[in-house]
Amino acid sequence: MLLRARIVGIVVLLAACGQPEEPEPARALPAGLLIEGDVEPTRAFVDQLASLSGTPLGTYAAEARDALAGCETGFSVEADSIEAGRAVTPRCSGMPGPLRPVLGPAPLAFAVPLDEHARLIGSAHFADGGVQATGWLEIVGDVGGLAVALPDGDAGPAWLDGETSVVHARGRSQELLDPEALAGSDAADVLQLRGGVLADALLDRRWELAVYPPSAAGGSPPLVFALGHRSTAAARAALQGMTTGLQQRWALPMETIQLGDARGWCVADLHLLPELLPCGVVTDQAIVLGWHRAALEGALGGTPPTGSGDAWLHADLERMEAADSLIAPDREPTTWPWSTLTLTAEDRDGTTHLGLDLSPRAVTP
Amino acid sequence: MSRGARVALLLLLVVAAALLGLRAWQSTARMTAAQGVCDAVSEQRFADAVSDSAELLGPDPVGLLAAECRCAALAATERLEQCLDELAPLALDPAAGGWLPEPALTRLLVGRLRDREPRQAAALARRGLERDPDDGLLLHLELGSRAAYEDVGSIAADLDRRIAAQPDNRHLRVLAGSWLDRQGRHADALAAWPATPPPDVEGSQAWLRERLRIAAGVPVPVAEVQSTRDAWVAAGGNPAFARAAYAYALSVSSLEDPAVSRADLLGASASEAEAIGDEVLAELVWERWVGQLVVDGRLDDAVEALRLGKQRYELPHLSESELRRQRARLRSGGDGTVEIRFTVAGHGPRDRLWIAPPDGSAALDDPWTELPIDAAGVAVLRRPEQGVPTRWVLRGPDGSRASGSAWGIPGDVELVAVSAGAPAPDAPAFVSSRAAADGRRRVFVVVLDCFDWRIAQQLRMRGELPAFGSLLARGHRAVLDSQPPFTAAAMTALVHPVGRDRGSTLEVLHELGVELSDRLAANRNPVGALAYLLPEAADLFGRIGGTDKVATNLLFSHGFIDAGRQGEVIGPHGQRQPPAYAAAFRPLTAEDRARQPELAEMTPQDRAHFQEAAALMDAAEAQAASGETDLLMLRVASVDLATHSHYAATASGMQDDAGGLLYGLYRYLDLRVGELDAALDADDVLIVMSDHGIRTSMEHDPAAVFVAAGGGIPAGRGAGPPAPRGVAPVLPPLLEVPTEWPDTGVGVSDR
Repeated sequence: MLLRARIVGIVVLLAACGQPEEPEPARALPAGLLIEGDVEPTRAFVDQLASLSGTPLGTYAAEARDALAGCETGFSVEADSIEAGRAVTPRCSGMPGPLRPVLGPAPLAFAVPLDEHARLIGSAHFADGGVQATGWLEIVGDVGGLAVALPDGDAGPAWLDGETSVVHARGRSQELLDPEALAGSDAADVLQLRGGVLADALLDRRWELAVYPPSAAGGSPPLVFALGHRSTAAARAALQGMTTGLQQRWALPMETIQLGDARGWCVADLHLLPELLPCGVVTDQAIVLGWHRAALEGALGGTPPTGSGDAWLHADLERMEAADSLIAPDREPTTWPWSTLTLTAEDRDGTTHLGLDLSPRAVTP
Repeated sequence: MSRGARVALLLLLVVAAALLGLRAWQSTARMTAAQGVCDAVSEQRFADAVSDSAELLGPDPVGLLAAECRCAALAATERLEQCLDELAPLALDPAAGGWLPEPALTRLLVGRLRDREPRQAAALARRGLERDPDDGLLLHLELGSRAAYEDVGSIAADLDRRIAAQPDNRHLRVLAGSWLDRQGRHADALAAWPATPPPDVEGSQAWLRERLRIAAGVPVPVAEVQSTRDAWVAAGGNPAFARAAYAYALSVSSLEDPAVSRADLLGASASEAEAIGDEVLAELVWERWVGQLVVDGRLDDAVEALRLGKQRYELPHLSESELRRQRARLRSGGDGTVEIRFTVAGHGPRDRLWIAPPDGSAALDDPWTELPIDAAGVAVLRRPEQGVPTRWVLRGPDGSRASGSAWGIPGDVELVAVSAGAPAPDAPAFVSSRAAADGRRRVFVVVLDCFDWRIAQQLRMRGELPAFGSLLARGHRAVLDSQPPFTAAAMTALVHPVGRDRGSTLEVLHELGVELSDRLAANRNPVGALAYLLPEAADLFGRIGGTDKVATNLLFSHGFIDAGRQGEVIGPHGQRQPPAYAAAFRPLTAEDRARQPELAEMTPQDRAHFQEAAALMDAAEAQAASGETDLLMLRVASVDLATHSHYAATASGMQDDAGGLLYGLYRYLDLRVGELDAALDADDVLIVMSDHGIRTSMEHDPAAVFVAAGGGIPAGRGAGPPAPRGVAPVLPPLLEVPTEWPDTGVGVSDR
């Protein structure tokens, strides 16, 4: 029965993919989980995933590899949900299923329910160890909190350094992160995130997140988070209010800083998480919060990447391996079968289109 | 109209009237019958009520009336579960229009459904709360039911909304705050807790102490604890009480005031004990003060503080002689030699005096050595001074015995008078009565918190603890080296055998997503898909439950004890099952009292230790009987509390003949372990272990107990003193679950 985990697991990872054609209601697909593909190219992809041994995805992929051994040309899986799909043995067939007539010829096509409101529909192509997938999100009803993550128009040029970032993402979300929704979490309590800084009138829904390698062995990878604002003066006032609130409530030692033209503050002493001494500054574009001062300085002093699309995420997997070696020097880092992962998202006529690119690693002669 | 038509119409009317009449009669008759059922109940004719109501039940008003009265009859004839099983479909039937039985039955009904159908239980509880918003028990039942299928963060957010809708409902705030605190969500608990004290003095003091306790768990606790104290004083509270409660809260939470040391805070409050206005709190403060002075190495001050404290309070858990010994040991640098001279009254040539192994020089499970008694009945022991009492047992050939402890102070000769009591037989040998092997192996792990090798061995030398002795004789044992000797460290090591480091970029991101997930409207980790790329869980329960096995966690995690979620049941294949519940307490039965004379005279606080142990061992036996779990891990925390409270009596430096509460608790646990062993079958493994032992009333010992028996495990002993972290790696192989977890020396193997 565990053979079921296979294909589904693979496609769950592709929860970032989509399809090139505009979705047409007339071509509505059957509900639930649908996967179909050609065995050979899919098997090569599955082998890559199976190399991530020790992870759930690697385990699923290894099982999928065994299952695909029973099929020669094509396979398909149909089920109500991901969980149900894990219990289904793939059907071996060269006959097209419901997906590819809609999506066009592709080595792998899929429709994966993410929850009761959203399904990911797309197809993937494989070449020289790389993967390119495209598709769209099929959304039914209210997306709830997902709106925070959905793109809404051009996010503009990036603000933070991209030359050293391990993971970097940027976008303009359909909804603001609800400040009240954050209230009460430990981080929100400590950082006094209720009220001014996240106020609707202040922020413009652009955001950017970057994760950098730790500065020394055993350290944490510092994060820097930026939120676009509408007014530098208002943002400075809000940040000042937040600083005052922190000092009053927690008696935290604070120090003011100046990074170029940007003014802000740093917590000088905090024993909450390793190396966490939060800093924040206001630039003319954004409120930028960093894990510590060095992270903030590095992020604002480097060269931003030139990402495109309404929203994008770029992970440099080779840098991630190096970073992981620093975070846990005694542990063998995950070796990725690709060098980079790039995910793009774009809003077109109310539909979110996604693209995924996994670049092959350079072949060592 | 023709004549024929008129006749036909007339006939139709007659038939309609007859049908209506019949229905009316049936309805009336049914109502009368239902009323008869209720009358039978009021007349205590329960059998009639049950038999007469069988056909009446239904979602209509008459059927519901009959159901409720029938239920009363069933309950009166000890068939409450049948009653609840019959009420459940009616309460859940939409045709019943939201009907619920009367409040007490509704609570029982929700409790009955909670384990099997938690969503339905929660729905019924919500309806019950609409009827009576102040029903605190129902609220707890609702929250407990939801915890089976809903993320705690989502429940916390819901409670937040409910409180926002009724901001002045203190009752709701207190219940929600208590529940959230219990779930480890201290910041949410603090936000839920009423912000201002109630007007009455007693309630106000309780508010302060509870709020201080919750505040001590938030991320930046001292500031929150201070602001709570100051707010209470500003509202007119007694400043001395506030200072004492503040000092006590910091002390029990191991927090430091930025300006004043813990000992000075406690000492200041102790010096104004009169003004505190609460004798219980004042005594607790005094007790913590003495303990803090000991921890700080200020033994002279501790001895003086205890002397003064004893003039005012009983301070039963603090021993002046123990402090004096510690002070002498500190002065000698721990290198002195002690001499203990035993004088055995009425000594006979076949009397044997047995002495525990010296501290640190031999394994605690080694056989005791015999100390020769001369013709005058004198036996002299010289050994390096010990940080623990030297335990001894005298056995006579006729079954007479005596036992006790001795300390010795360097430079002094300690005289111990020994007088054997009347002959008495050893406890009957324990004979394992397990059922035949059923081909399925289960592993039951019972962690007796603070269960101590030395005390257990002393009782065994007296001929007691037959079940524990049987496990040692037929099983595989080890003396664990629990460093640091704290429950939190041991439990974390037990459940997370390869640590819980944040070992990669993705793990850090996933962890942050978990933090955020509780607060996002979607109530899910926005980067939850990263879990597919993280190393598979090294969590013991996740690893076992990720296979075709089921693992149940009753390790009672709380505060800093990170041993998974209490009651969590995982498996097969990683499924989250409805949580397993173990009652916090179970009233002691007449049978318990008959078996344990110590139970006859106990304070309510001491009785609670037994009651908790009883409830948890009941839960273990119930799990064994149900066959639903493959791995059960259960911790009896009350042993630790009882040990700290009563250790001094077992280390008095005198003959005590193993009387008193702590020895009694050991005997009770031995009985229950024997019963649990009998509830398993031949291919099951029973492991009894502790997280640390005890050295003094205030100091844990790193030596912890481990013994595994049954299921073909050969008798033997682990080499060296393995760490508790080594226990987890031996469990999956027993269940044929492969892991790469390193063997750290516990070394249990089957067959």
